[in-house]
Amino acid sequence: MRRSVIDPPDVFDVLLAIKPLVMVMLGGLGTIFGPAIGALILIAFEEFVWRNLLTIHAAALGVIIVVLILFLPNGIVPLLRERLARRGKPA
Amino acid sequence: MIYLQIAANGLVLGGLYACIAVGFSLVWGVLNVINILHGTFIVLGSYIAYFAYVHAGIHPFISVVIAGGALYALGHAIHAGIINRVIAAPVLITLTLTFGLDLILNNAMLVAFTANYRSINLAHPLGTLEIGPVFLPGDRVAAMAEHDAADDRAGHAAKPAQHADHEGFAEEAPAVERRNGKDDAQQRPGRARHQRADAEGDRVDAVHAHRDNGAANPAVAQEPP
Repeated sequence: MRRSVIDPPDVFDVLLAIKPLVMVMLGGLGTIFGPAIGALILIAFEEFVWRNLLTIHAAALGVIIVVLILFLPNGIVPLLRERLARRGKPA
Repeated sequence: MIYLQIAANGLVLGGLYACIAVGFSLVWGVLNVINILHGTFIVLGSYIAYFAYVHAGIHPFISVVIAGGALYALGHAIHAGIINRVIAAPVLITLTLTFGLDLILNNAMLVAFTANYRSINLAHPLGTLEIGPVFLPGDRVAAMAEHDAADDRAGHAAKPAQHADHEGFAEEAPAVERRNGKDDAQQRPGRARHQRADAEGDRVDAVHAHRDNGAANPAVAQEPP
């Protein structure tokens, strides 16, 4: 399909600006693979929500953001790293 | 002449936005929180006014008090329950957090109230103000000049502006609590910014004075200066 018009709300959506931020926070700040993992998880979750709970997909993203900031401020990769380091210590 | 009319329209609408911006500026300056939730709160206040008028027949001018109180309670709950947990974090974190909360509240309101356009049609409209060649809608002017709306000309309705302002004032009360807290040093940059903002408008100045008079009491904080 060819489109001759770029609709600004489609391509310059505010959510589009905030999503990379969420991906990074989800994966892990200051890590290399964190954002990639975060993007994977976020998009997978988003597609799931789009498919099953269409009316509340924005709220789902909001819930992710709030839960991330409150309970997982460093992201997944640093958390896993810490777990691994802790497991390695007693052994 | 059309330019005069356009300028007048812009002034009147700008007055409304200024009311909203004052609340936003207060929260940012005093609390050092960029509150993306602000706009959604204003819309929620407008919905309260709308339903109060449609279902209970309460005039928007009176339901301002109800909406102000309700939004004060909600704002305080959100601040004490969620935002206070990360209040010491960099400002970007609280910005993202309020954005997430904004998405949630926004979506909840969309589901609850649908996206239909609604507006209050007063039983006794305020009519049109005519100043020379310029025509001004009465309700917009009343919204802009909400300070003077406190007199007993009961027909004057300023729909969202008053909610906006009330919401701003309402959210200011938790700020007072925080300023008396132990981490006062962290407040200093915000305070300096606030004082800079004071120089820009006596409106903010009046609010500032309000707070300095010990306006921890939300009733005092909500009174328009």
